[in-house]
Amino acid sequence: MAENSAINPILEDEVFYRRISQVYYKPPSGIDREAFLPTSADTNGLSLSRGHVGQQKAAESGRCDREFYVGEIRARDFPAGLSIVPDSNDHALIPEMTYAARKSNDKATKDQLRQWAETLRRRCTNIVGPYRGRGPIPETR
Amino acid sequence: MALAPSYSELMIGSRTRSVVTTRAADDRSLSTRQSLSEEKVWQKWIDELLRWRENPAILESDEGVATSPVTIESAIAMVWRLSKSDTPTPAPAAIVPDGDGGIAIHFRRGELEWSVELLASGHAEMYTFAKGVLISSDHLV
Repeated sequence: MAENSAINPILEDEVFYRRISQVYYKPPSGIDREAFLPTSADTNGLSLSRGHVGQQKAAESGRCDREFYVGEIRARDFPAGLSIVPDSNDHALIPEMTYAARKSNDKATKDQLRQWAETLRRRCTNIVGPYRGRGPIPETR
Repeated sequence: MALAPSYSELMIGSRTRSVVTTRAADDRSLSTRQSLSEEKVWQKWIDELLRWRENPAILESDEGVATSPVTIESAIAMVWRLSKSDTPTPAPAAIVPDGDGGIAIHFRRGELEWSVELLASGHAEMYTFAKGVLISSDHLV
């Protein structure tokens, strides 16, 4: 509890950054919806960097053999039904958008996930990059 | 407004082994149904898919999830078939790895967008959006 109380709460106009793999953004056609679908890494929710981190640092968490763009979404622009849960002062999660939801056999769950991803895609602005990742290269599986 | 192709229309033949070898295979029939610019876009995507078939490591997700040769073949077969369809279909706006071992094919016509997701499981799903709102989905289980 002591650790959680040290995490700054989300502000209404707070900016969040979403790291976007280069394959999902080819200007000027826009971002592909896949950039906002949870992957196997998103077990607790879709990953976001908090605004003060900056775009370049948000991108650098990606694997070092890839380049990434970074898109911006403000807290007030998140679609209804989604929450933003900070898990540190640098990072937050969207707990409704998990990998388990993506793999669900329930059609309504999968449809809702696509709708949220589509809305986030459309509300994502100020895309900058690409930046080279600095994270480890995962083993192929 | 033109409607997206039906799910069954998209899926017929998509699981058959691709016979795509060269651009010249059926160039004349392709050009009779598509404008030159559309034809070039279709061919660009077919070439891209063939490149992926030769080097599937390109499709590896940021988390290291690979795309199977079977999924790539399914995408090639579907795109090739649609490019030759008598039902006018716009060339894909994007074809991307889905980040989970599958391939997503996106189409756009005005405010209508539809996507076919060829999943790593061998299943396929189709989502249709109008002005960013999900209006239909089909899941092949």
